[in-house]
Amino acid sequence: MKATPSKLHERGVGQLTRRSSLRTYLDIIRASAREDSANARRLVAGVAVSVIRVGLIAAIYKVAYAHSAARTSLPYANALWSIAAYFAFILNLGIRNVFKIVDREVRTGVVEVGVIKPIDWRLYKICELLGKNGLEFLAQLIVLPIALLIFVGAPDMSHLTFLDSAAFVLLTLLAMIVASAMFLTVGLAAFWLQDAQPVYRILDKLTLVFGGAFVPIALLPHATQILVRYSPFGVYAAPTQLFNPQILPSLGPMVLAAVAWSAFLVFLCDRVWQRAMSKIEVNGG
Amino acid sequence: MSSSDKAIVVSKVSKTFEFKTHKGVRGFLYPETTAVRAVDGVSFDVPRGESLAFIGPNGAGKSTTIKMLTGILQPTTGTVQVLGMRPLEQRRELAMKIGTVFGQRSQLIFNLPLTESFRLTASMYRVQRAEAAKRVEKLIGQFDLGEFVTQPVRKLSLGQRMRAEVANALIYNPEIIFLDEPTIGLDIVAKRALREVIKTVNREQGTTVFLTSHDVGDIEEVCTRTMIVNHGQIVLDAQTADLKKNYLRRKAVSVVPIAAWLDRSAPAQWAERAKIADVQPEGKDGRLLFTVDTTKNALNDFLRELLAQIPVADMTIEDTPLEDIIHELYTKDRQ
Repeated sequence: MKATPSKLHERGVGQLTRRSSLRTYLDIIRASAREDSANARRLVAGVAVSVIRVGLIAAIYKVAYAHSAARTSLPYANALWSIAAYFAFILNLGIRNVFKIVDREVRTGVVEVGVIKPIDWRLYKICELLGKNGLEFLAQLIVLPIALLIFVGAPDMSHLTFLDSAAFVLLTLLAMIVASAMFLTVGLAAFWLQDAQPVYRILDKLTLVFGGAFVPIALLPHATQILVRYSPFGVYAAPTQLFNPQILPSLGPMVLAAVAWSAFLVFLCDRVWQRAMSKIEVNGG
Repeated sequence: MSSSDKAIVVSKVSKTFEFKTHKGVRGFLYPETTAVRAVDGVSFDVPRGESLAFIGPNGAGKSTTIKMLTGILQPTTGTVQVLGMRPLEQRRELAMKIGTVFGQRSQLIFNLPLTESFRLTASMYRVQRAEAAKRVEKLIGQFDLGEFVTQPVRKLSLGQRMRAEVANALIYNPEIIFLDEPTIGLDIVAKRALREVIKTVNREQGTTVFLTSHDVGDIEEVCTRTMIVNHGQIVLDAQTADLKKNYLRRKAVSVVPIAAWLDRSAPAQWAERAKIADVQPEGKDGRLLFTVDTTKNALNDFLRELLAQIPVADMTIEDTPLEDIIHELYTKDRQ
């Protein structure tokens, strides 16, 4: 028996219970995390590699600190905690890797399946990434502090007030927005470029250099520090500055810079996305 | 028929893609573009509850049309209305009411059990948890997914996965389901099972089915109406029963006679010796290929005569390839 049109009208959105979209995005994170947790060996290996890396860097910095004036600007333990925070936040949580997901889906045309779902495809991809990397990130947050306490001891956090801590929480959120928008935008370049990898590589290297992957920002020359601090790369790495007492006078301006970069990059990402949607035909139409 | 009875209304729709003629520096210096018209002034409507086959050869404009109907692409000219909505402008609202299955693009979570994909789809389409559980249970029974619903998607056979894809698209009870080559790569058993469930969903729930396929079986078994497109234009729009009667009139019968029969003469003479009724076969690789026009010779009579004359070791009977029919229809249309 065929359903009558009136019967059909009763279905669909009207019959469905409205729930918060936030819950849907949390479900995406959860599903993605579950999918990744199937690979427990990778998780354990990832954490082990981070501990070894921090141990090696601790040994190298110990020698460097013994022969340089760096110890006067940033305590040894704080430098190591800062680097570990960088590894966990930038490398393991790896929001920059959203580029790879977007780039792949655009080039293979999978994006067309995503855009006809009743959710924002860009947020979907970011949530997928957070779910995928979230477990390892959480594991790092537990294991790395223990390893650091053993290798270098506790950091000196006497400089931090409650308000500063709140500012860092805000900075962390803004850093995630800036990184997501920046690398999503580069990923969307795949709509126009046959190979967007070179653009990504440039941004990625800038993130590594200006984020403090090789040398903590506090150890860079003063003028460079200022330039880096207020750049989007500096904003992305700002949460790792938690252990740098010198940053406190700049905290307010850094939050403002983060807000400004977030607004600009989200706007830019949205404009690029709108233009990209009109280019979707090139990728499988 | 009032507009509310129509699931899809397409009016004079065209879609032109423009590509840069030259690439790189030359493209920058000489910014010429080449226009390709994928869909050319197409108009049609689909009543609610109908099952429509939208077929055509590669590059005919099928996928482009589906993408315009689902809100992925914007028509260059003309208007599209799906369930009373403009797909591009109301994409997310429309998404809540349509289901999509792309044969070559999975929408399931590869490393997790099917139940997880179902749960996430229900969440995306805001189906209440208790309601989702009921629907999933029903779909598991309907699509016979019970045996493997707890297995990771990566471990499923293609047939199982396609059934799961369709079930996944039905969790939120869409009013239209777009199926883009859902039986591609499936064996005959899996194809039959999938066609059966699509038919059931269309019949029992009144879900409008919009199907593209290269497989004549999908069209014959699932769809009541068939639309053939080529070069972006509708070449034929007919009831499937009429199409079958009028165009699927040729059967290709391939026969392998027993070796002793073949040995009696040279290959060049097989065809002459095997002439049955008015059908002249072609002799090839130890086979005889007959093209039987069923409007002139009843297949039953032909086979009876064939078996009486030739000792047969093996035999297959196939419909005329869809591409041949489309080609014929298109040529006729041009003339």
